[in-house]
Amino acid sequence: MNYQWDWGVLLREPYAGWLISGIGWTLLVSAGSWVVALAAGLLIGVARGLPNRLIRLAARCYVELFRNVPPLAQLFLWYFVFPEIVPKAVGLWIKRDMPEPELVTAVVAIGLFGGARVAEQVRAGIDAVGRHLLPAALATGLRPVQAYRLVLLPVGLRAIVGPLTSEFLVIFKMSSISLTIGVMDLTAESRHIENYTFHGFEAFAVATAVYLVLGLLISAAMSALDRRLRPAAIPT
Amino acid sequence: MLGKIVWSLSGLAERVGLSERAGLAGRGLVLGGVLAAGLLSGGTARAQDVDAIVKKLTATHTLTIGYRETSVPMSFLGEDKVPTGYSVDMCRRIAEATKQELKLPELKYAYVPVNIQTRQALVANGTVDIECGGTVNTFARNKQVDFTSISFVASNQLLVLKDSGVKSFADLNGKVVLVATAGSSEPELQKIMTEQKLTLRVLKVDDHPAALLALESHRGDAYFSDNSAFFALIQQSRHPENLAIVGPEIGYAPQGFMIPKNNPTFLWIANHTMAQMYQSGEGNKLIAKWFGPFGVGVGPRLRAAWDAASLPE
Repeated sequence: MNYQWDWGVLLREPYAGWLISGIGWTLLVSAGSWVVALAAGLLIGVARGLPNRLIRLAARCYVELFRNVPPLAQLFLWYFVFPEIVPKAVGLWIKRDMPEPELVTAVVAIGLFGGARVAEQVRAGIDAVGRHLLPAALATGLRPVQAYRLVLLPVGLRAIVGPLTSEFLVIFKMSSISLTIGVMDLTAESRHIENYTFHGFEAFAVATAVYLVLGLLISAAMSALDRRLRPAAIPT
Repeated sequence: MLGKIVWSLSGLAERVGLSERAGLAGRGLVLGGVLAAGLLSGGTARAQDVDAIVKKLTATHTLTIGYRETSVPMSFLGEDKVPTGYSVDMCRRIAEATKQELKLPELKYAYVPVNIQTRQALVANGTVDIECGGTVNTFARNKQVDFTSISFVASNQLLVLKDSGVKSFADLNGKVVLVATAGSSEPELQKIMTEQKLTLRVLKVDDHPAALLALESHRGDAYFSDNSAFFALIQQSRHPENLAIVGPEIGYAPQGFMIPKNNPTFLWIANHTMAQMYQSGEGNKLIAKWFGPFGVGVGPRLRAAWDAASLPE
């Protein structure tokens, strides 16, 4: 193979700047999506265990829909189809005047997909520590919302820090699909560098290392969190 | 309303189809394959032999041609699913000349589809013997591959929706401008923005069809790109009457065919054949055949490039 390695290209401008800005966008998409996923997941996860059958059914539909459609297709639906089926003015606003349309679309799409998976973890967590805590909490005079907020969720969430770590990592790596709608994340910038310098191997090698290191950092942070929370209550 | 949904869904299908064909998976595979091939062959063994293509042709009688699937009229799949177009026609002439020069009893063609991201790597590692698309010859690319003489000269212009009111670069203030992340147009746009002090939002797209979709769905106001690509886009558009090519021609984008390095004999045959075509009027005929329908002839810059390539015998 006639390939001339040149690692120095990654230190030269503008390529070094591209890589760094790519890391920034990847972190933005990941963090944004994770916030959306946690919020949606908590809401839907709790809803899946509520006594009201309609709410339970709606939550179940959400989970099955968002979990079973490929995330890339969901991203395209949000990006290409959604702005066309809302009223024209709203659609134009989403496409043009909304700040950072591509970033926001990616965060919503990846976040709602992740939300379906987080919801299942939340439901499993609450089930695992025992739904029998609910009548007990209610018996002490707590209102239902208080029972969830003060008893079921704190205990249930502690049990699922491990699985949530995996979900976080899935979302972090999935942030790269945002490049298909024009977000210049780490993977996109690696390709960008490849296109201009033809040193794709170097660029992708560095991107791989960055993903790995960031992934390991997330794992480490989450296990530290797990250790801090664990002694509190979980029967192991 | 329903029509709009169907329309955007078909755009979506196009995108999904594209990503299946030329997207991440394919790209990853190609990259992985290239890397693996490099590692397995011990790094630098075969392709660095001088005249590897000639040796291969004498042994296998098969020339591997890289082509683009949708670059009308340069290089694309015809209705019979065989690659065709201006560049492909020219490459076939080069192939015929090669057959005669090397006195081969027969010459078969193997066609390999390439895209903007894979073309360079596939030529550099020797998978493709000659890339017959429309690749701009740059010094950066010359570090990894060789180029034949100039086959076509393009330059950058704006493709706009007529109702956007964009007539020239000065009208771009406050607009959304689409640009492909590969190619020479992106740095050119940056230069224009700085020189003319334009404040605009740049939206990066992957390829020409994505740019057309973004333009027609009003996500962007203008697509800044190589004008030789615009003809195909206008042809593919559902409403070609809404599109216009505007603005002055920016930059000089001379295109040629990529060949793996260290193939002096094959490169000589290619350049010699092209010079003969330019001198005999065959070049003019090819331009008339493929670009005539779009109202494009041999301009002064293409003529000058051809003259420069037409060395005496």
